[in-house]
Formats: sequence, C-alpha cells, structure tokens
Amino acid sequence: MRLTENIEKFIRSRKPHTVTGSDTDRRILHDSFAAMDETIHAKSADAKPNTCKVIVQSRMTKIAAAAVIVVVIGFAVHQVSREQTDGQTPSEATKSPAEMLTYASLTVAYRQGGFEEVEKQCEQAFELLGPRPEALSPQQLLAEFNGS
Amino acid sequence: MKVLNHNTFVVGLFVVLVVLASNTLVLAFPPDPDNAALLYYQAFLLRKQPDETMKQMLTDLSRGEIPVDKRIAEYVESNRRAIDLAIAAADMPFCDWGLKYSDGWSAEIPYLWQVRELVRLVLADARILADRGDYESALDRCVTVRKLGWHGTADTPLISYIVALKIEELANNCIQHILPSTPPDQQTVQSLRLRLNELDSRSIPLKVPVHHEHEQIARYMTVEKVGEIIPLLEGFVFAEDKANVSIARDRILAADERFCRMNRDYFDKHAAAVIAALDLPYAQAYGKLKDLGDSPRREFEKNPEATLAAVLAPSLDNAYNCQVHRTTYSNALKAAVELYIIAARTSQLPDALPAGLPRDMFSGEDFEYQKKADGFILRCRGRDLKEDKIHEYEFKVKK
Amino acid sequence: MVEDRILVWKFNRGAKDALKRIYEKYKDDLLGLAVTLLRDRSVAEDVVHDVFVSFARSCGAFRLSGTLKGYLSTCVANEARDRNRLRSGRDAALDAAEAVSSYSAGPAEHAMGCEESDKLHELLGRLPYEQREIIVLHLHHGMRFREIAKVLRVSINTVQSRYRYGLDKLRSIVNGEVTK
Repeated sequence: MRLTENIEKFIRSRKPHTVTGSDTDRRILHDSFAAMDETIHAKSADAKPNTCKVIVQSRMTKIAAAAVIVVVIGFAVHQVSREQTDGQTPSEATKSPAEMLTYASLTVAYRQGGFEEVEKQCEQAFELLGPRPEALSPQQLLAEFNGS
Repeated sequence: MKVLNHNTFVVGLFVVLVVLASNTLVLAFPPDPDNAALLYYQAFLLRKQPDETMKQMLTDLSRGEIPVDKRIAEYVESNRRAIDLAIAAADMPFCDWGLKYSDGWSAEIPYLWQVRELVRLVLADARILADRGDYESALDRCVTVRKLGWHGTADTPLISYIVALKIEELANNCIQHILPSTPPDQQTVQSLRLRLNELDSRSIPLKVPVHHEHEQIARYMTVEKVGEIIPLLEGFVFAEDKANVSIARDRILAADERFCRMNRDYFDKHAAAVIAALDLPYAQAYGKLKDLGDSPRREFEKNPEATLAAVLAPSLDNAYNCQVHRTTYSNALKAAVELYIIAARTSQLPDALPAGLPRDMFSGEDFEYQKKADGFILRCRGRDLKEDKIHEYEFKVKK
Repeated sequence: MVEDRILVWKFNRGAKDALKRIYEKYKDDLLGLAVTLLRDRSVAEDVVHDVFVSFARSCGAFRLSGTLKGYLSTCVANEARDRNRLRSGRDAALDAAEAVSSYSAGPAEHAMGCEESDKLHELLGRLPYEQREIIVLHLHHGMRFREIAKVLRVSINTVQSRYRYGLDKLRSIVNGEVTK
C-alpha cells in the first residue's frame, strides 16, 4: 500500500487543521490581556526595556534590525488605533501584514488584479499592523541604529 | 653621527606615531556605506508618515494634478533629511536590499512599498522646486526617482521590476510637465540630457527578472519542494476554477521523482521559448508571449507534464508590454530633450526630426514628429497591442 | 520571520494588538498540536490557554531566540507533557465531534481531508506518548531532531530512535489492518 510505503509523506500531508471556537478565543484573549495588564502595572514606568538596544546588539544584526524597524515604521504609522478592531473576532483577520508582502502574495495580487491590486494590498498591509509605539520617535530609532 | 642617528630615530618614531594615529582615526570613523539600501532604510525611518489627507495631496501633487500648497510644502520640508538620504542613495551604483532568496516564495519584500512612498515624497519635492523656479534641481529630483526605481529592482523579482516600471512612468510624467516651464537656456536642458543618458546604464532588461522568476519556479519542481505549491494554487492561476485546483492538488500530492522531472523538462522548454520571444520585434514578441502564457493552462487538463508550469509560469505579455511602453516613453523624453536643446540654441524648433534620436519601441522606428504653434508632439508609429492605441507625447515649449 | 520580530517588539512595549495577532496567527496550529498530543480537546484548549497567559506575563521581558512559532510549539509540548503525566494511566478519549477539520478546498476534498485526518489521528493515538510527540513535532511542526532533543532534554539519538520506533509501529499497525 502507498500508505505503508511512505508513511512520513502521509503524516506530513495530513496535518489536521483544528480550529479554535469563538468562546475559547474570547476566554484565552481575555485572560491573556489581564495577565499582560498585571505585568505592565507591576513594573515601574522607568523600568521599560530599551528594545532597540536589545535588537541592535551587534553590527551584524544592524541591517536586519533596520529592516524590522523600517517595516514597523512604514506599516505602522496609521493613526487609527488597533484597539478599534477589538470588536472583530480573531478569525476575521485572515492574512498578516508580512504575509501580504511576500514574494508569493504580491505576485498573486499582480496576477489577479495588476499593479492596482499590488498597491491595494500594500496599503492594507500598512493599515493592519497598527500605529508605531509613540514613545519612540524615528529619530531615536535611527540614533540607536547608528549606534550613537 | 650618533646625534644624526638619534634625530633619525625621533623623526621615524614621529612618523610611525602619525601613521598609527591616522589609522586609529580611520577605525574610529568608518567609511560611508557603499550599499545604497542602507541609506534608503535610513530615509524610510526618517520619513514622516502623512495622514490620509496629506497622503492624497502628495499623490495628486506628484502627478501634477493640484498646485503646490503651503501645507504640502511644509510637510515635504519636514522630510528634508529623508529626501537628502534618498538622493545620496540614488547616486550610488550598488544596492542590495538583503532579500532572503532561500525563503523562495515566502521571502518578504517590505522595502518595495517604502520605495514607492519615498518616490511620492521626492516627486512632490520636484514639483515644489519647479514651482519656485529651481528647474534644474526639480528635474534632478525626477532623475533621482528614476534611479530609485531601478534600485528597487536590484533584487530582481519580477514584481519589483513591475513597480520600477511604474515609478519610471511617474518620473517621466513629472519631467514632461516640468520641461515646458523650464526657461529656454541650454544649460538646464543639457544637464538633463546628461543625467538621462547616465540612466541607460542603470536600467535592467526584462530578461533578468524573467530569468530570476524561472529559476525561482524551477526550485519548486522537486519532490521535496513541490508540496509547497499547494497553498499557491488558487491565487496563482485558478482563482475561480475549483475543479482545476482539485486536479492540480491531487497531482502534486501524488508527485514522485518522475512527475517532477517531466514537469521540469516541460517548464525548461517553456522558459527557453519565453526568453527567445523577448528578442523578437514587438508585435511578434507580444503575440508569442501571449500564446506562451496561455499554452500550459490550455494543455493542463490533458497533459500532467504541464501541471506545474500551468500553476507557476507567469504570463509575461503584460509585463513585456509595460516595459516596451515605458522604454518608449523614456525614449520620447530623450528625443524631446534634443529638440528643446535645438530650440534653446536656435530659438526655434526644427522642421523635421533630426536623425539618430531614440526610437519608438513599438515599431522600432523614429517617432513621428508634429510641430505645433506652442510645442510639438512625438507620436509612435507602432500600435500598443495591449491597449490597442497609438501613444503620443505632447511637449509645450516656452517662447 | 520579520513580522514575528515586529510583533514581539510591540508586545514587549505593551501592545495588546500584537498579542492578539500572535494568538490569531498560531492558535489553530498550537491547538492542533495539543489535541494530537493529548487526544482530548478540552484539555488541549486549557493547554493553549495556559501557554498564552504565561506568554502574556512575559510582556516587557520576552526575548525571542529562534522562531516564535517554535517557541510557542515548545511551550505547548512541555505543558501537554506535564498534563499527560498528571493523567497518566487514564486513556483520554478524544471528543471527535469537537475537533473541527477545515480544508480550504471543495466539498469532496474536505471529506477526504477529514477522513484521512481522523484516520491519522486514530493511528497516532495508538502510539506511546513519547513517540507520538516526536513524530508530530517533527512532521507537523517542522522541528528538527536537535531542537526536539533540547526541548525534551534527552539525547538526539533517543529522539531519533523514538521517531524510528514510532514510524515502524505505525507501519505495522497499517499493515495489520491492510492484511485483515
């Protein structure tokens, strides 16, 4: 039988797609947000980590870090807070911003709707990720990036 | 003698110290990066994100659809550092965005959109400069945008190439609008001629991204990778064709070494025919590419060897047409610049088009030249088969 | 993955939308892993719940080395193992009615997908937990043997032999069914 001949292939190709229910989603997100709030309140305001320093630890990682920061800034700067999307169920968001900007995804957009579709998809990706954390200005990010 | 030796030793020591000190300085201040992408990334960082209204205004201004407005000018000025970085980057010959090719179709291309946003900003700056009468700098910005567009394709995926063509069109459009306002002095136009000619070495032929796309596709035609095509099925070709998605999925799930090899052979022949078609004259090339784009999908149902090509091979007639159209537009601009130079030198336009000017790529012939009271028209002799029209480019000339 | 780094970056700065997106992105995969390992949907949901609550508590101090998916899968595998130890001896039954399989293709494909997934699920359920865990982490979640060895705190040889024994056993179960 084919199954016995290549059991690895069979298992790999039949990964079950289990889907969480909306009650479960609500419960997990509710409890997770509460846990997050507890952690944030427990910390003093000045104890916030300097994430840039964490990201930019060495010269070798700087380009990667720059790319990350660029995406954050580029995508994120829409002034509409993501809190507004809280009414959505989690499953409503089917594609993530990064997925929307992959080679495959942009190619699909182009093949299906030409350049206009590529434009539309990129715009959506920008909007999806939400605003840049206001505590850090681009200048500060750049200063960190440049090591000054 | 002893004193002399001592002096020589002291001088030598001094020289060594100076050399060491200068080396230390070199180490302390590393040279500017030679990769334009690093400067672009900084420009992206410093670019202030416009709100929706400003975004629309920037788009309209960059297309010349609205006049310069105080608010836009202030916004553009607040992005001066980002613009300066973009200009510096565009002048650099080397640009590597760090695209992770090994990720294949999953590789992310986030910079592509950032490039386009930066383009809007620089073009708005060009319009503002022209509005203030600094035409040379304004035209310079347009050339910067063209360079920026070609840097965007430095990593060569086909989709980047398409974006670069679009950017070239925007920049050309801006040049075409600014040129008539330019005072008829030879210096400004000759400087533009020089800069446009420099761009010839920057543009990448369509064959390069097509090769890249073909290599990328061939990588997936192995037993190990073929399964990764399944999530792409619907998006790539069979958007509304569930039956074909099902057939393709079944074939891919059952794929063995032989299936992959046969599909690779089929695709290799297809890819070679596509590359060969790109060398044909426009009308033949367009027809051939259109036919080649459809053929794997026509054969798909009856011929399993065409399965992967049907799913993955891009239809290149649109990209090709787009490239011919943009090149023609750029050639029309270069030809127009020559006519502006003649007009600046002789105070009048020539009665006939001088020989040896860049050509209409749809026909491979010189543009048709029509002199008018307030300028001239350069008209293509060949028809754009996709848009089914003859393109013409009108240029006004300041008296 | 660039997006995950951004999400972690935002999450560490207290952005709930980042946590929400991380959850949305990986919840189904993680629940699938937990269900396959534990064969009990409600316990599996508790596992995913506890993993995310614990992850949320690390806000501000979370450091990502490797992939976010790998990290969360590891957490689920660890938590599932603990739960399995607690209920060892009891053969938990999977509430199949609740385990929803979703395939994006047409109805025929869906039916085939569910049937074969259920069959696989049943086959995997007949393996010892230690073997099932490795097979699922390796074949469904793309973890390398070296990574699995690190998570389980056993040698890579142990991981490989458990994997091999697991596959052999699956083969013999299938052969047995075929020859019946």
